[in-house]
Amino acid sequence: MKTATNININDDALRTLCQGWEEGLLTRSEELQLAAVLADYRGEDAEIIATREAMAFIVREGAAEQVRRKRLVERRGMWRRVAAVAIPAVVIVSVFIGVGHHNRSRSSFHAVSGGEVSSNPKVAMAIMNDQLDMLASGAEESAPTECEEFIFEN
Amino acid sequence: MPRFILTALMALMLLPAMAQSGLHSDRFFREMKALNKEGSQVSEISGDILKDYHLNYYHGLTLPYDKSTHKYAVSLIEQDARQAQDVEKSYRNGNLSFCMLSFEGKGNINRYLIFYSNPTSKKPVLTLVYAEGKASGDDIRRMLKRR
Repeated sequence: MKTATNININDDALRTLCQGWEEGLLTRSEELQLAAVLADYRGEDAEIIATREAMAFIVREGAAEQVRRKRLVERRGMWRRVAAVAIPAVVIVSVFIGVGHHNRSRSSFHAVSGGEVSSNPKVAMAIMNDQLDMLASGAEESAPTECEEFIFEN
Repeated sequence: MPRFILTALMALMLLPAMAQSGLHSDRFFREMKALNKEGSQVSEISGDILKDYHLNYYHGLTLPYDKSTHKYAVSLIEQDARQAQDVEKSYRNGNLSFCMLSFEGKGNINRYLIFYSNPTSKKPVLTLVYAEGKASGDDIRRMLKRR
């Protein structure tokens, strides 16, 4: 079965072929070419379409118009499929980004240094680090020495 | 609905302020914050920024050392120590110099109160830290050891 793809015919050419066929201007090979195209769009066998009665029916139906509509529907369907995948994907990614941003910005800071109140994260973190350093030295001082541990154990 | 959201937001804002509630040392934090002593430093942090420490709330206070403040802080810490799950204390010249108290919080949240004073150093200060989060006592000790 010939297909539209390997015949590579566009809508205008198809319409011209249809008009030519109606006016009885097509050669037998052109008739077969038209039949193959129409058969392909209708999913039927070219040999069947090629019979004069069948082709006459299709041409009367407005084959070219049918083809155009079919392509339009296919194109719409394609965009619908793209949208069906893309829109949820964009929404999901946005939600993840939003949640991530929200989590990062969920931290709160309050600092007082030299009588000045600040909500600057850097100031609050710097004070916290100083305080932890002090506690670390306190913990180190308070840790029992090896000698003390030995005395304790014995 | 907007009223409900506003109330919920206000409740959320109050949460950190109430974090060390139930401890006697909470008084010390509040009173010293109000006094705003010269040379004092306060840091209050909550949220994801502390996740590396496995904490979700940190409240630290550093004050210039003086005997009366030290005595007051120690009296409150001693009271808290009675209800603590784990107590680690160290004394120098008969005075409490380092103390780490662990309390069981709600769920798997642990609460810690850590105190340090260095009256004999060049810049004598007194530091009291309250922290809470999933961090275990060992996590806190490791964190201090790494510094």
